[in-house]
Amino acid sequence: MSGPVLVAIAALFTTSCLVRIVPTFISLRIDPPTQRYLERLLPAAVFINFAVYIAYSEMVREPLPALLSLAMVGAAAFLNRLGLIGTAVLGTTLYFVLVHIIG
Amino acid sequence: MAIAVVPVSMLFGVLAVRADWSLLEVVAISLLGFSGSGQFALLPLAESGAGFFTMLLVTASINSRYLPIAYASAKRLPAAAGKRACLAHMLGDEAYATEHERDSGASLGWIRITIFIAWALAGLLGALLGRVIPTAWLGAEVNLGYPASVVLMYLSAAQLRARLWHNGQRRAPVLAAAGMSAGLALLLIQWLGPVYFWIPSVLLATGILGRAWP
Repeated sequence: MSGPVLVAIAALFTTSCLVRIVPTFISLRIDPPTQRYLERLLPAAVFINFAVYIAYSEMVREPLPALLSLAMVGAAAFLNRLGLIGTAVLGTTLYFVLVHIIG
Repeated sequence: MAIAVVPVSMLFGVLAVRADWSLLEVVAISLLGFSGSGQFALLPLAESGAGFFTMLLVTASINSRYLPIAYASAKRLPAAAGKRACLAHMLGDEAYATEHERDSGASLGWIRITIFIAWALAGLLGALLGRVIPTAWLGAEVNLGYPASVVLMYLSAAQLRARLWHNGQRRAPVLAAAGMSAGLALLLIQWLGPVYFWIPSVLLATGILGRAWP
């Protein structure tokens, strides 16, 4: 392995230890309100930020196709109208068709 | 879900081989790093000869979102330290979006291991393809990672529906809080950038939801 690549692998593995492994070994004595925040509110907050992050990342690249496609996907998932596979196929197709038409 | 990560990992494999990474290096970073955004970010940094702490700062910032996720999902992991550490390492966006609170430890293990193996194998496949496919065929304009974004958006919205949309709950304040949190997240991305917005934005959203969600 080359030096820089080895350093990159070491850096990413260290990151995984810090952000994924270590937190699972830390146990804190927490009161019920804090527990509610950690177990219910925090995950919901993470998923809101996930959705915004995904939309932002794709809209930087192709604004209108990504906006329309991801809005359709989000609505379909929130309304529970289509399954995962159907929505994924429809959303991806819509995106690439719009990219083709617009640009 | 494992299928959704395949194009992204394959793309990484192709690009890494094009940057003169060996097959062993691609497999090693897929197994030991297991981070799409982190792996892509390290490609140019390794090429420019950046140091360990620079790379660590960048990848830790990008992956800082896993801190609260890892903590929140820790109680479903096995007690044995080795298994616990391995499954914690296999935590990814796709796995977390697929898991549910009612899932057993075994289900959680299968979800994470399946996605992890799919990720590593797809990276290797991408690296092999990168060696044989002519550069002109790769189509730099094609957004190969888009299907993964679509699946993540679907799973995020489905998780939010499951967590926020309870019968008998006053929905308007919760929806307003979720909308306000999303708007704030967008502002913070613009202000701090997509790497550094995570921690403050997640904390603010948690606070906003806490006030609206009795």
